[in-house]
Amino acid sequence: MGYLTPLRNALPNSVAELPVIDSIGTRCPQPIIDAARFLRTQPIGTAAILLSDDPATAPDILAWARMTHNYSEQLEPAKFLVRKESDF
Amino acid sequence: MAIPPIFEQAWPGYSKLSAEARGLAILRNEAIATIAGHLGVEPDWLHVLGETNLGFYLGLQGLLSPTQPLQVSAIDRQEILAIADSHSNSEILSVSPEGQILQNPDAQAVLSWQLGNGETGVAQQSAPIAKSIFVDATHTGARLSLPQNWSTALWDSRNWAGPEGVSILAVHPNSGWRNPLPHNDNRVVPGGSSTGLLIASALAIDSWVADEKIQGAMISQVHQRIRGYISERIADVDFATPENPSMPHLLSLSFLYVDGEQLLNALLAKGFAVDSGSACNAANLEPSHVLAAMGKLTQGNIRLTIHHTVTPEEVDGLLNAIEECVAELRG
Repeated sequence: MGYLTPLRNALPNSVAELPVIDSIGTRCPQPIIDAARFLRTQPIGTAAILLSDDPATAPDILAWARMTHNYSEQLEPAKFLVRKESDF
Repeated sequence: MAIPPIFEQAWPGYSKLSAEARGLAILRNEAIATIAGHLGVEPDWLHVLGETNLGFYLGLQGLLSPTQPLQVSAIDRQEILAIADSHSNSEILSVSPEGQILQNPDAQAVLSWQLGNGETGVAQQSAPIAKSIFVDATHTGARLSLPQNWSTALWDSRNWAGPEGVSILAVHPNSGWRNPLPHNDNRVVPGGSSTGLLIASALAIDSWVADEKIQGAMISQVHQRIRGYISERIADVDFATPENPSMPHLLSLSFLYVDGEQLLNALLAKGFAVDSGSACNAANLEPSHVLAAMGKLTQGNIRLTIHHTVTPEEVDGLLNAIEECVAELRG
């Protein structure tokens, strides 16, 4: 949670106004592919909300962030914050 | 297929008084002594079980009083996590990214200690600390020896390429173990295990140990070769198995943006049978709890088991197949 404070402060908009990637109902690895596809087209610093009810998303979005040098955080059971921090 | 002669000899039941039964009892004792020798425990402490999952309950519950703290780890097998679920005073210990159990030493606790993990090949490097220790050796077999302070331990015969349906429960005489099942005699296990299968298991452990002496170094080399090739040629791979593992016959790795079940089937179509800890299929919604506990990628996961009989050509074929299949599935 501590990580998010400077990030939230740096954002022009609140989390509620971020672009939403809706992967509800899709199974792994689709939600992670959806998040990566969206962020690849965006400039570094772009944040988005990923909606996913797949049980594999919680561990996998964290592993994705570690592997690709980006940022992710689980906000709610089916809601994740992702932020582009590298060109991957 | 012929049924081995041992099953013809094994019909009388070893506890009867006939000459055949006495002969069988001698064979049975020899089988137990052989297995005990390879596992590094006294034959008198071993008990033969027909059902591994019952062994988790006997080994762990027999050490535990109703209010005593029970510690298990997040990478323990589902059967052990289920025992923890049903106990009122239990704690699930988390693990490091390398799969090492983060202990929270409690001098009163019963601890479930997984000697080595069957999914990732991770072996515990530290010594367990607790009042009583159940050692899950069902994935390590004759590879790793028990910690000094073990109370009970369980092995599965399949680990030394022995038959399914033979498990070995060891109960240390100083463990204070009590039979948790309803009983009216002093037997440790319910009985009903197959003497024929036990003897087959003893023959198997002898031959597995001999093979491992000759082929163990080759398996480590194959492990390093697969790891090196994939790291060099394929991007976005997460290895769950640490470098230089204690059980190099296992290699668990995950490919980002790949569906594990599709990868499994694509490899099967090319003639390679591997396992997966991914959840990308309708039958199992939950990803591998072991990978999740270690913070590893669960999607696109495959688990390779390297057998004593593997050839360099088979390894080449597998590496090509993995490279092709991953590239195709990533589009």
